[in-house]
Amino acid sequence: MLSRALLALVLCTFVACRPGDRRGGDAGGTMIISVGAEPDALLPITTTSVAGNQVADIIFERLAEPGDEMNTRGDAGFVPELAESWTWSPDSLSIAFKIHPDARWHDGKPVTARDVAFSFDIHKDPEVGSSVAPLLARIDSVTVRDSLTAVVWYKQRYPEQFLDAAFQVRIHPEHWLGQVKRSEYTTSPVVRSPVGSGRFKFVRWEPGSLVEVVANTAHYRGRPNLDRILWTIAPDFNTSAARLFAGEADFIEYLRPENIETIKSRPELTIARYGSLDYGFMWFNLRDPRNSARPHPIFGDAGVRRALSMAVDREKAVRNVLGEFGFVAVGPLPRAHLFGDTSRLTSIGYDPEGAKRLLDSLGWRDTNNDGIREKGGRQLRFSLAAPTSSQTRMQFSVVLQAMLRDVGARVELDHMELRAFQELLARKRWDAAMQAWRTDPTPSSIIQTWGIASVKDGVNFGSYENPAFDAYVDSAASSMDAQRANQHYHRAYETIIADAPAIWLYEPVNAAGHHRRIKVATMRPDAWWTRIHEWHIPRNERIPRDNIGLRPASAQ
Amino acid sequence: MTLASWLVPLAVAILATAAISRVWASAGTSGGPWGTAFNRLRRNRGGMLGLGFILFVAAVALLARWLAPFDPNDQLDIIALASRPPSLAYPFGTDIYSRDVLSRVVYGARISLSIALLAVAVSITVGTTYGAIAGYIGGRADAVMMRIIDALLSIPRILILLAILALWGRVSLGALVLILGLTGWFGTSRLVRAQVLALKAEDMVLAAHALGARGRRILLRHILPGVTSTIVVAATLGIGNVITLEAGLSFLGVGVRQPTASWGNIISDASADYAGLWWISLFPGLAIVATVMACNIVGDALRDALDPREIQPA
Amino acid sequence: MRALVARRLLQAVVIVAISATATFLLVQLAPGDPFSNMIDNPRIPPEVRERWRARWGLDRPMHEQYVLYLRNVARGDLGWSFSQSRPVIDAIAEAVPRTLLLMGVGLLGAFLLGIATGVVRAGRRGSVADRALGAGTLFFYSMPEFWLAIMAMLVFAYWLPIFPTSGMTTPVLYDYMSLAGKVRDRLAHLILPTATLVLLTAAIIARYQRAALLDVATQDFVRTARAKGLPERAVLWRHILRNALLPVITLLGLSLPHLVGGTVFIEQVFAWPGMGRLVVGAIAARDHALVMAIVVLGSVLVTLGSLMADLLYMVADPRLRDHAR
Repeated sequence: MLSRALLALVLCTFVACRPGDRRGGDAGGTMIISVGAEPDALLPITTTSVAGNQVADIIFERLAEPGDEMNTRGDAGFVPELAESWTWSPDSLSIAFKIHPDARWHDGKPVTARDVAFSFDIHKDPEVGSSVAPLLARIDSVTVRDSLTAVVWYKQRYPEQFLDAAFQVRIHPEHWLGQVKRSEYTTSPVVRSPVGSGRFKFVRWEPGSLVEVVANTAHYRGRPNLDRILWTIAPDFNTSAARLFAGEADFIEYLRPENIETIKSRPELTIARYGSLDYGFMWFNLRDPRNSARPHPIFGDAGVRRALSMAVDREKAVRNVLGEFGFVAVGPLPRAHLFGDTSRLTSIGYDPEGAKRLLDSLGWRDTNNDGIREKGGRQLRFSLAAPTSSQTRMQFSVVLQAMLRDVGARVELDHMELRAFQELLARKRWDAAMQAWRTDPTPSSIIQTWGIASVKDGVNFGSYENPAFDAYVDSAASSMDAQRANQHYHRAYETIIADAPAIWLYEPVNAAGHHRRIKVATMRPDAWWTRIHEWHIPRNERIPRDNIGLRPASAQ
Repeated sequence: MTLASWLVPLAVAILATAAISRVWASAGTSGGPWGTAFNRLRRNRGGMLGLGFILFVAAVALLARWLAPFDPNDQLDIIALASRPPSLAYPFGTDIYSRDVLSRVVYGARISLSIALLAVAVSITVGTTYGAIAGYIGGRADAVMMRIIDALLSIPRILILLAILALWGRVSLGALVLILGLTGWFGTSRLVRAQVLALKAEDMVLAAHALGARGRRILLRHILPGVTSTIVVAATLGIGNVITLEAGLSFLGVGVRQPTASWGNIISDASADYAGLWWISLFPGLAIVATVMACNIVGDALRDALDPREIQPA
Repeated sequence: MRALVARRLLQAVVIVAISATATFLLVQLAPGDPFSNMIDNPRIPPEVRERWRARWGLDRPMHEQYVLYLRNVARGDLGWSFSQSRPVIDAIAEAVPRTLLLMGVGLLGAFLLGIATGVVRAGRRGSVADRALGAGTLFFYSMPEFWLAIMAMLVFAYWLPIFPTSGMTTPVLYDYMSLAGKVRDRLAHLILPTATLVLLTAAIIARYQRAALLDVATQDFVRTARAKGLPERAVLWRHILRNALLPVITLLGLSLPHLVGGTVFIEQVFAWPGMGRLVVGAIAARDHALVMAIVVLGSVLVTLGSLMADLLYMVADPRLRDHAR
């Protein structure tokens, strides 16, 4: 016991010490998170929803987490999690991860190297169908050196090989998940009560109502500050926000500009901002919706796309829709991927007169004075699809409709339900669409959304194809030299911005609303919850539900 | 536009109501079953008030261009004038896109009323045809046709609509009218069939049969006039019903498309924050309640005057 | 009588089968499937989605899926709900009692309020009370369900924060309340949604009830009773009301579809975790099995409702009973 305390003290002195670790005596409190959607699953390997990932990340662990500066190349800045330490082989073709000797699953069994090997195996297994599988293509195998050492072997060395092993795979217990058939990871009743190794333990999941986790007081890096976390599940965003305002919940991961006044009027509530890796845009379909072998009759011409981009006052649009919760996007990437160097990227500026002149010169003129331009018998008229599930995108579409009308383009709005929207995109039967991408922490992920290969087999539904762009991104992603990589990325961005396959609109600033008594730690843009174990509620600010303690709920 | 311009639709409504009353009065003196009905209608003060209000709303819808202070789709200033509560310049406030809510409610009357009228026309036509055929043919075909109606009636209409509209998405105004119309005729067809069955047993029809008149002729000449009163009442009540339904569908996000204003989708423009943007949902909501109430009052008055029992809205 | 009941039951089964098939077609022909949300996720390659579709048999022709579905349902297997990640039957078993609670309380309140209103109005025909109640009835009858719900929530949950905004219980804290506290908490959550439902449904019932009362009041036996010198009150209670309740019983069956529809909106506004909310969510998630199950259940409920109403009518009205025998 004493040695454990001593070790903690030593660790606290030498390792990046977190404030939470010192507050052992002050632990306690309940935090209720209000979410507007049901998690699809709580098992990390099967969940694809935001709510599901939150819970899964809190119950399960990775080998290591990227630091707050979000480096993805090599292992610089990574914070050890299940892995106590790691060693690279001299040729960089394998990394040996040493598991923390005190790590235990929530059922008390030790975490071993076998669990690591098992986890990689299930992630790569087509039978399971994990979305991570393609990212692990360059990992050859994982072997067990001893009970606490797992070795990851690579087919080749590449800049983000550490990220793929340490971050993309969350470690699942073999002794527990091994009893479930791999084809039944989504349906087995067993996986509804997940057993992990994280700072919080699963308690219950009542669909449509709540998910509850409680502090894992036996965690090998010390117990979390909060006693318990609950997710209360509302049917939609508005109801979930209402729960925060009514005092029925303590935290909501994002707010809309309309909510600011309400938050300001409640002295007990406050706003915490954090970054985002999202960017939103109005997408042009470069191919004819009726025959994808032909270019789009309007948007096939880069000049028209540029002219329409010039017609949009993005600053004004962003302020209307997002208020202070957003920036104008620089291009198909969040600012975080530029590493602070936005100065040299120039985007297409607002210039409605220039837009009209450009359209005139391209032959799009309003010859019959009906307010809509024509060229060769075809009107400058197109549909703009947006999903009703996103208030932001719907609102942008209505604002854009009015702005484009002023330069003689007629936009017909197609607001539809999310699934219909997704099917429409995939079938490529659309003219323009409001879309937003959530990017990976790594800039190389841009190839998945705008690369030529994903026109056929991926999400590049607008069919933007420029080999020069692909080549720049490839060189950047394979370059081991960070400086060179950044230069290549820069050229790639300049290329795609000039091609204007979309009007780059916004980059949201996430604003979480929360009760003041909850003291939050730094929130990472891609996953605000990564340091939730450090969040705390001071003893003198607690409200009745904070004093429930660790005891379980009374019988239902 | 000034407040005075609102006197125009008001005057139109009053004059039109008076004119209708006059016509009915003269029809009433001519006697006959319809004559008594017109007389009774004319003396129903509530009914005439309701009728007047419907005419007023119709006049507003027709005169929307002169009454609305702004273009309903004009975004006045998306930064400075977005989400303004009611004021002198914008009596109903502005919505999140800085569009004038009053103008949208005025133009919304057009869309909401036309959707309701057209949808009801569709359901009355289909329902009457189906019911008349079933009732006239009778026998096994009738039984099968009625079981199908029972099945369709057993699914709550809102679930059918929700399933169609939410699953299919992207519905144009015309398609919306068709869908509303084609899900609303089941009840009407049942009523019409019952009436036809009753009429078929009457001497007049039997006599026509005996004289060798053909089926279509009997249906058109003798039976259809007999079910007219049923149809008229069902249609009036149906209009109110469809206005409510359209609003409900828009609330669930599957109704009329932006930027077109209907009363229902103006309300749903406030969905981001009903509490903070109360004026956006309050005024179109009141317009709906008042109009639907007027339709129901007129429907009731018609029913009292014509006295066909237990008519359900189309 | 027994033969008649059997025939009506058979008809009910046919009705449900037709509506189930119609729903199946509607759902299957619509664009999208439970895995559509993988489409615009750059991290999920198309082959992963195809594999999922194949695993659940979604790539097979529609008639095969239909036969499979029927076979499963016949075996009592309603399928798997993707949006809830659990068997459809579990999701429904949990939601049904909640909706029944809402509808039961709503219906009971609506009948009491509706009949009372009808009696008062018919009893004092033409009085101020009659006209005021008539206007009130019409007012609520003409109101979109969701709008009344929103306005009720605005007034009684936001501007005058008397009642909770949504849900069935206070999240979390409920589990740690005393028994009395739990009861109080449940009641507080129940009031706004049921009050909305009661007002809307009572308006329908009151309209029919008044008409029925006036209808009966003009019939011969009532005139006889009056002629015999019975006091007006006794005539109203003993003769008119008892006979006028008959059409209202039928109304019970007829108002069910209305009630189900109203409940969908009210559950949506007040986030009541019942069938209505379940179906809206299921449609959005293209959770075909769950949509099917709920719509079919709704149609069973409505069919049973009208069947019950018919039977009650027969039991209550001796003329029909004798006739049927």
